[in-house]
Amino acid sequence: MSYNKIFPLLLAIFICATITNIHAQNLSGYVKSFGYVNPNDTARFDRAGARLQLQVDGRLGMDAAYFAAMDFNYDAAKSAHSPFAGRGGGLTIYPVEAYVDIFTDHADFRLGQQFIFWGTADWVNPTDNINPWDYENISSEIEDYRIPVMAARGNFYLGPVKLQAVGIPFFEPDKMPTPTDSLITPENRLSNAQFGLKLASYVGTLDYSLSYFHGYDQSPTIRHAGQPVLYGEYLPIDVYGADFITTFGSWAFKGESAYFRTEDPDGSDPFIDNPYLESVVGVDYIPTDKISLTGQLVHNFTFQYDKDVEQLNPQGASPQQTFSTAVRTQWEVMKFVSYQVIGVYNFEDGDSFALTFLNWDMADGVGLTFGGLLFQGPHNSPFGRTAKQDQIFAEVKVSF
Amino acid sequence: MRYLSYASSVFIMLLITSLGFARAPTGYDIMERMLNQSTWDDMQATVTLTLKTSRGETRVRTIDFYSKESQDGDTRMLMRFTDPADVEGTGFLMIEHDNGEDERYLYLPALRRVKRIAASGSGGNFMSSDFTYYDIGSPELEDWNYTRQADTTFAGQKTFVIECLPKTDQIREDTGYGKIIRFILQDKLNNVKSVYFDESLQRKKVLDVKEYTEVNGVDFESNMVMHDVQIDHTSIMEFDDIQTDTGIPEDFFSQRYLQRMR
Repeated sequence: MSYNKIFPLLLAIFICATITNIHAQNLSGYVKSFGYVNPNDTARFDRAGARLQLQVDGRLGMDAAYFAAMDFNYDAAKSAHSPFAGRGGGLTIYPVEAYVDIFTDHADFRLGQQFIFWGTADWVNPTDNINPWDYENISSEIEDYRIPVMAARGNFYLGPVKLQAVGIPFFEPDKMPTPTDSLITPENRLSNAQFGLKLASYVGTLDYSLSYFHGYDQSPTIRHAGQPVLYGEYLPIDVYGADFITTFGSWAFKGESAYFRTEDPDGSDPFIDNPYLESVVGVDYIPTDKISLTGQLVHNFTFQYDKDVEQLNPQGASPQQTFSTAVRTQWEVMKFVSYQVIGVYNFEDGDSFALTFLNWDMADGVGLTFGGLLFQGPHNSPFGRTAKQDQIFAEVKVSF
Repeated sequence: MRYLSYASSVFIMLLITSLGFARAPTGYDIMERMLNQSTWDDMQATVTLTLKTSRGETRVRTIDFYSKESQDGDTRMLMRFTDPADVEGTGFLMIEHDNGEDERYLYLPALRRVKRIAASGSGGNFMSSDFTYYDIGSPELEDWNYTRQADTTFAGQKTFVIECLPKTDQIREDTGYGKIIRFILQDKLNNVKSVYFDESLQRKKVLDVKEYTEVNGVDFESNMVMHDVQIDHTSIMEFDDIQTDTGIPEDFFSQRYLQRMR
């Protein structure tokens, strides 16, 4: 972001804060200091710096509310360490969320930059296709590794039924390293807008929903434009999803499934994904107050699969179906100290990913986190390709 | 003739009532009268929860608390953390069904979604404190067998002592308690102290009610100190700004309002 844009932003925040004072609402946020070290690369600092997040929120009567959060992130590891570099070289400023809520008797609306997460499973959610991922910014905070989108969302309530309608005018892709020379993204025009519908309800202790999403695959389809030039293209998809969760005592049972209709419905193009079904079944178990366990099985099945066609893709043919598992454990080690590990293991490739962290609530509003991101697997597997991106991190966060 | 019949009925009722007071009240009688004191349909308050460890660490949480007894006998509770800042916005909704599985929903602002969660029974700790969900909920009179023990005095006042034993293994397992001894003031029927024993009948926790606030003519436990003697951990729960019968609608206790935090 250029500095001639930063000044108006700071001015806007100042005005917001002033207005906030007028309405006696809430100015909050946090300051945190962080350090991420790559243990595979002679302990190179990948990230080291500090962040200020300012949040402004409030209500305007009973019918409206607003919220805005802005990050001022300084990463010394990304600044140019040179006598000629400006002192703000590692500074980035970006909105996390900024939206307005409108409440009516039977409907709520949210307009603006926001997160909209769908699905009942943990970590792997086939129906969750609205907010892209930032795979280069995995941390303990969801707002780091998910990217907010500009959207209009309406929730309509009819007794036990909730209908959610979402419109997303601009496409935002996943942030990830791609082996391409160029990327083709959908133009910002109304005809390329994405939208989704979700119908949610419950019967007894069973929550369930049906959903539909029309948009773009957030990962690019890699194509060849003559050797060795590669380019990526974000192609339309339609996703038909369903999910459920129910509880029985200390147990919760959940499932989530989505059918992805791609641009290659008959499976004739080796470069484009065929239609596929991704499903997750899982269970949560709370044996004691101090431990919670989650186990999930993930299944991916490709339709119209012809191995001869798939092998024409120089990237290699993926199998018709894959199985993987995702687990999560949270343990209160002692009062105010908790440990959490999230792991994903792919059975076909034998590769895995683990995010683990230890949290200590040092005082009211003060938290210390130590963690690690660990990738493992054969060099051509999804997690094996990033095996040298392991990270060990520490964060101190003071909320106000 | 009709008037005579009516007068006879009134007389018989008065006789029964006077006989009821005349005989020494049983443990069941005392508990029934104590539990039936509250007269409100809904309540809201600001709760300050202070947690103290044996290492001397202290954490203070502030919670907006709403509860309602619904017409179908369900108890609904909605809580929102307002302080400290790192947990502000966290919401919890619990619906205790008279018959059937209780429902619990958690809203974590960081995850931006409401999630139905499993429960480790009503014996699970409330917000990491020494109070369990059973402790803060409405006890079911018929779940326990009551034995009145020798009266005592508490702060100079005559006090009933009631031993409560779970009627079934399921209740013992759900609540986590094998026995509760309750100390109840004889004049106002205030439960001023309770001693909780775990499933193996080891002394687990001691509750001291430090302060009562009169709400709708009934004393409400507005300052409670729960000490876990096994891990030497203490939680203090204080209720302020108590309001009753403000007409909180039943649909307030829903996922919709749980996530409408701001």
